[in-house]
Amino acid sequence: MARKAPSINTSSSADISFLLLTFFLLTSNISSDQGIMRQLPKYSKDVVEQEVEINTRNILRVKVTNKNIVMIEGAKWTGNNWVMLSDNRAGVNSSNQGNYGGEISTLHEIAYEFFGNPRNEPDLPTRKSTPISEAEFGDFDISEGVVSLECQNYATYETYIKVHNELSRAINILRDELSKEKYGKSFKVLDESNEDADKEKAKAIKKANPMNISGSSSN
Amino acid sequence: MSDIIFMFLFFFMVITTMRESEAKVKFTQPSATEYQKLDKKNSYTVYMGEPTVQGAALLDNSVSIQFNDKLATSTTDEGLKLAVDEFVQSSRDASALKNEDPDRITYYLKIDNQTRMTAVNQLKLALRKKNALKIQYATNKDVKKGK
Repeated sequence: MARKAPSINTSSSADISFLLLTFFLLTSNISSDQGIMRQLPKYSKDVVEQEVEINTRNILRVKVTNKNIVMIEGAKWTGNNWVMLSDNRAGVNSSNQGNYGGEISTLHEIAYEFFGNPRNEPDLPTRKSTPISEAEFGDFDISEGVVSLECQNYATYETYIKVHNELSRAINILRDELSKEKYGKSFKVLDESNEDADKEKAKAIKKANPMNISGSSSN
Repeated sequence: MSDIIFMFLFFFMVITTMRESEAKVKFTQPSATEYQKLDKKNSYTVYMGEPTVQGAALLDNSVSIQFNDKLATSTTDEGLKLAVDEFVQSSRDASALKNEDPDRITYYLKIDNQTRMTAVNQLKLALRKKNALKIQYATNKDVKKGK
């Protein structure tokens, strides 16, 4: 007579795993933490802002006022030409002299023009040929433009982040263009790649298009 | 039947990350399109917003600061400096313990939309003084514009 294989009663294991399942369902948060990366400048005690002689054409002043209006001034946007951006048109009163340039989401166009300076205009930043060692990139004319970002005390964090987002956007467009021209791939693909060769390329492109924000510079 | 449930179970066990700190302040993050993913292994969080518990020290415009899971109890320049010192030091210790590079810690700032820049600048200055320079502003993904 064949002996019956002993079997284990498994009906309770389903219950147990159900309980565990509900526990993990409740405690897990499929969190996607992301944000805008910035590198703060080093703190030095003698706050005598070392007034390094920066050519006026190399500076773009971005100021966020108490009423969350973004004011932009630079060599190209000077005199009667400076631009005012606001999401809330009503906040821009007629006594302000600048040009209303639309919503804050158009700031990246100005920043793009400023950092890019494709036609080498005299009122946009200079470019300096610098060797880039990463990925045998060779020499590249790196823009010497610096954005000086200043906030008044009552400006809200929301507007501040919007400005940062727009500046990042301009740089990312420039990096993407260079990346496509040089390597035929978008910058995002290179940056998120796991291959060392691609990472080096991404580094080179970052170096070629640096984001210079005084007050907080970024990688 | 139980096989399937087991598979679900393993799936959730793998993706689960236990929350190390619970926010004790209310905040709505701003949205952005140019976000980068946070490196969770080597990051420590600072929250800033309206407190939901009693006894928090208030900064300008009734926001308070929370470091990891501790609410700041003082908002004078001196008190904030002490809190930041302690926070940065404990972050560096924890990071070293996990075999991460303490100099490459990302300080993840979860700040409420309506916070005034005075408070944000105060925090940034305190971090800079402690040489904690790599920060990331927490944002939501902007779904309207996409990427």
